[in-house]
Amino acid sequence: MKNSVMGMPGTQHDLPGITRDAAWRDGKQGRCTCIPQETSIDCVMLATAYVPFQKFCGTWPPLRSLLAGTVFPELFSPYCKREYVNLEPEVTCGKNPLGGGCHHE
Amino acid sequence: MNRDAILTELMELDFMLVDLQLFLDTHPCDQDALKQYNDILAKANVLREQYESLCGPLYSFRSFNRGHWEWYRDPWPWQYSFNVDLPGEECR
Amino acid sequence: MWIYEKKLEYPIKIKNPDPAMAKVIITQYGGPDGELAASLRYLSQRFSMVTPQARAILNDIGTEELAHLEMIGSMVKQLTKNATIEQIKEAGLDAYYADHDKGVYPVSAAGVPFTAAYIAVKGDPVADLTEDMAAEQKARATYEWLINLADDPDVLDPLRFLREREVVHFQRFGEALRIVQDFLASQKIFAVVMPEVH
Repeated sequence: MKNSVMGMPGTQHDLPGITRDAAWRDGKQGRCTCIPQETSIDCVMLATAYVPFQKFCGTWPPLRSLLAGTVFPELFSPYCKREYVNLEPEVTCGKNPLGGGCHHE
Repeated sequence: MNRDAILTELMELDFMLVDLQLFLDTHPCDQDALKQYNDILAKANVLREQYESLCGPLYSFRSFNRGHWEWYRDPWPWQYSFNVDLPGEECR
Repeated sequence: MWIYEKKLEYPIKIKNPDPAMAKVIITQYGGPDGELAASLRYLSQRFSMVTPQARAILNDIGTEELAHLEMIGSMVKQLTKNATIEQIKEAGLDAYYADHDKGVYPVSAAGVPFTAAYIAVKGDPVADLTEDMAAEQKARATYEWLINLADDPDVLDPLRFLREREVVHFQRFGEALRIVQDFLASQKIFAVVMPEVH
């Protein structure tokens, strides 16, 4: 499921191995099949900082990646000056705008 | 393809390689990311060759120079005329 | 060692001169949270890392920061090229111009020259990686302030690109810290002395 290649109309380049957004989702309801991070950490200790590990669920196509500043939709954090423009990142599995709360399906 | 198109696509692919490379540095055993990195690299290397045969060397001591030393020639990357306009818009 | 590739990481193509913008953007060249500080910090700290992943990340992010330094320098150059003396004076760039003409010199937005005091190399991998995470957040915030000050899309696009890179770098340093912490924890050998029982 994770690495199926699907051509989408209007995409810039069709490179092998690039996961298209739709591949994350199972059927039309869009249930997530790949969560791009660990959601729990074993053995957390005091006086220690933890950033959750990212997990690979595929990338954006080339032009989108360069414009966004990252290949990973889950790391995209749009900043549109003082007025926040609600940019749909198009592909996040579940609703986790960066810094916006726990990742869930 | 013209110079701008090749350079644009090469910038896109090389950027993907940079971001994937950083991911692989902290996830050295991830096979999916590695496969994508290698696949993109193959395509980028083809573009690199096309760019160099059209526009001259990309590297100061790793590229061939034909007939005469081309490396030193303008434009250099910080100059306006070197750069391309990217299609598409991000939050205006 | 370093090889130079003759292209920018992201294109800089600024049509309209804007010395006032140059005056503030230069802070990401020679300022406390700029790309010179970042690259020097990471490329110096890499020598004291204790796992190969941390060495790789410091090496590679340090290298990418040099590419960002180049982008900022290009922006400053293009923003002042063809600017008139009147525009320079109006932008408050006349003091800088007196010392540097339209050259690119590492200073902060306030004109303070770059200093190694902006970075630390504690030699302790946890301290160093934690500093790196803070540095990325400070750089990200600085790009946000610069984005707030800018209007020209030719300037905004590269600034937003650079800001997003800081977010990604923070994630990578966080992961490197996890790896280093796990490694150091696994190295500890606890000697337990059994109490004497009579």
